[in-house]
Amino acid sequence: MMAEDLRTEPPSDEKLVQRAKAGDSCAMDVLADRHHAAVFRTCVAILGEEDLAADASQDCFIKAFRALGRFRGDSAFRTWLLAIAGNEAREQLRKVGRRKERGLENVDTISASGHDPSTEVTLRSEADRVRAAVAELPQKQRLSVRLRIDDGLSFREIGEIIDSSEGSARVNYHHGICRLRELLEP
Amino acid sequence: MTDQTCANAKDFLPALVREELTGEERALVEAHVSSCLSCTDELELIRRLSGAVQKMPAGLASEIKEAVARDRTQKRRTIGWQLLAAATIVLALGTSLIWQRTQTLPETSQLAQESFVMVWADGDALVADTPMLEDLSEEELAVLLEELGG
Repeated sequence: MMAEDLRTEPPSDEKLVQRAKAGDSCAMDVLADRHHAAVFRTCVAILGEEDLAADASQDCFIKAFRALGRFRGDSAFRTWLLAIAGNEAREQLRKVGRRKERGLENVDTISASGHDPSTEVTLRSEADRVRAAVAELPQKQRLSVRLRIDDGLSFREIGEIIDSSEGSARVNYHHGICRLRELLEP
Repeated sequence: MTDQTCANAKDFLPALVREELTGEERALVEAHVSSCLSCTDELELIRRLSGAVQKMPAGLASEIKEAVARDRTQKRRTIGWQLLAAATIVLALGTSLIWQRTQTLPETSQLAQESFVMVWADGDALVADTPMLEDLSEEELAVLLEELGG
């Protein structure tokens, strides 16, 4: 019956969570397939580095499935999972002893270093330039922008993930957008 | 979106880029954006941000699923070892209890083997509350004989 359900129409997260709670590894795989990209993006928004974010994503899913029995469904599974991802990435950040949260080592950042911005633009691809600008934002603004634009989360959901109120998530998002406008001005 | 303001139109811009709006919502937002420079700028920025999503490492989903499966297998093994350890402790405690009980048995049998006389009250008088003849005075003896004779 399970296999048939998966073939016909995608089961909801709620149904998959119920099955996963009962030990259904197939349901866990579907949940991982469905949410690993958002988890990775959340981790990379905090950690900056792809490798660290991939490790944190793995740890996030392991911890989430271990704790699935305690998930009551007060929030959406995705929100709950991304909150775990955020915690895991911040824990990873502490472990590697980074004082500067936004340190993207593999992407140059736009800075107020006095260099001619137009010169920097020519040296970077558009995507790198945008990512570097996002990396300049404080963590909560960065997460709010990425979660809103990449994953379409509501401000209430973002608030749960960044451990703030819905209003604070909205303010963080708008401040982030305003700052990005400045950073990415032609 | 009947009250078309710049602020609430901006709330819909990410969903517009993600193509998640209904036809009516989309028409309303696009109508506003076309007449609002600030929203036009923001929509352009969101499109650029959306196009600069961090690339996923190849095979990440598989790695995650494998890591989860390994963790579950390890957990089952751990539970197995914990059950084995618990069973060993119960067995050890049970054995210890039985051994202690068997150690107390010789004392009981030794007690049982002691002379009945040693245990039993020494003298009928103490047992049946009956006075012994030799303990009676002559007068008491005469009364007793008279009672018996009578």
